[in-house]
Amino acid sequence: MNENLLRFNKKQKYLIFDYETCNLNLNSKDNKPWQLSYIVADFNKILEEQDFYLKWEDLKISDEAKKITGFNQSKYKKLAKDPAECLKSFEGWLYNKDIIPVGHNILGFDLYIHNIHRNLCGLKPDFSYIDRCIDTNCIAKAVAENIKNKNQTSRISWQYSLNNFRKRRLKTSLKACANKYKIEFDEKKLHNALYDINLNYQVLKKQLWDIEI
Amino acid sequence: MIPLFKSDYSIGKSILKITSKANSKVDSVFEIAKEEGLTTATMVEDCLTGFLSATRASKNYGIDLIFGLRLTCCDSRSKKEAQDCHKIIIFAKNDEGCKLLNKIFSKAFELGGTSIEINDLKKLWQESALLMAIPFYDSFIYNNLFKFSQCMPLFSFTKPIFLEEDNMLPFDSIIKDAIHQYCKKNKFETLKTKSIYYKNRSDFEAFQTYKCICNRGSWQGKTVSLEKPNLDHCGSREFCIESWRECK
Repeated sequence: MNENLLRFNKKQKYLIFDYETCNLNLNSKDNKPWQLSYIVADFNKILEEQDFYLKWEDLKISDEAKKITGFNQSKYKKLAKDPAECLKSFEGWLYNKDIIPVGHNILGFDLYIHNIHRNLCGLKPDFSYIDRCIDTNCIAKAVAENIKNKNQTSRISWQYSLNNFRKRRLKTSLKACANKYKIEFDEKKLHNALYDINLNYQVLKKQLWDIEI
Repeated sequence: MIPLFKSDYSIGKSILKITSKANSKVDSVFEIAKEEGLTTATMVEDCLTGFLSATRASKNYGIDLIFGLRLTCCDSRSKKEAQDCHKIIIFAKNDEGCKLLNKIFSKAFELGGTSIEINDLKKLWQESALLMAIPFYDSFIYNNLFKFSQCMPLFSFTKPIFLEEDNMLPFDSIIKDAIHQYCKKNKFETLKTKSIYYKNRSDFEAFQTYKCICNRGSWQGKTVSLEKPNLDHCGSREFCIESWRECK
């Protein structure tokens, strides 16, 4: 048995994060991230939880995004904070080499949104954390299709291959993962970043026992 | 760092024309090359249809042309669905090379095909007339890294050069590391390049719009738009001459 597996390292810290955005464009200054939520947790407990609403003067959220994410203008106005300060707090964890960043579909989406966030704060791209990432959407595909990292390529390459893997009727959304692991959730609250990351934390813990990482 | 221009003859890949009138709103490869003071314009196209226009423009502008054809190469045509297909670029070194490019292109697309078998390429190959380059994206290294491919093509008939790029995509560093490792082991050379699909970063929205249109404007029956372009990993606006100028 491989004792180096993450499932046995109860002290390993994870940064589980999610962005909510104005639309689905991966590089548009109009696609501002307006909510950034993250939790820092080890296998047993949540150590820190943050739910930031990011203050932009010219937020243009598409009607579809408003509907899906349940965007509330008055709540946003009340809670929105300086995006640069929120980014600094988040990146304090993200660029910590002992932390594993985790998210659902981060390789295909949230990494780019983090880059937009940096760009809007006047910072250059920095994906130096990418090798440490775990994308629970990719892991869900690996579990469903029994695709192991048998060639012992790097974890990130394996996940990118899974990210590019498409199959009809293969459902790996967060909702599908929660259903698979019989984790209770409120469907109305899905796509709220804070709710999603807490759900994803539960999914991650199940996945680590389903596949060898 | 060498800028590798692509024109809209490569459908869905670039919004640059080959030529345009000075002060026109349309951006073109040779106007950009002239503005940047380039003595040579290196083009990489997905087909040969723009070759004549490019040759004429080269003469009119007094800018040398290096023309490369990017196409899919497979170990075996019968297995073209399999994981052994990858992109290569073939540059013509001289007039003879241009004639050979035409033969290679014809061979690749005969019988409705879209790729060239490596043995066919080997038969047509002339080292004095052609140069093979391995592109940064969609090469066998890229596919092995990101698409579960296990392809190790045998380039015994030539010595390819491996193109390196940095477009600030999250996975660029992973590809670059793999290329360096492979080239060190196999004693191949690398060359720093940048693919150019539009003039400035501010043209990225136009580029995305064009790609959406070329993707037939819908995805799984849903209309695509700039808010929902459904373009995987289309998250960099660095494929432009503005970016090249800053890091050349």
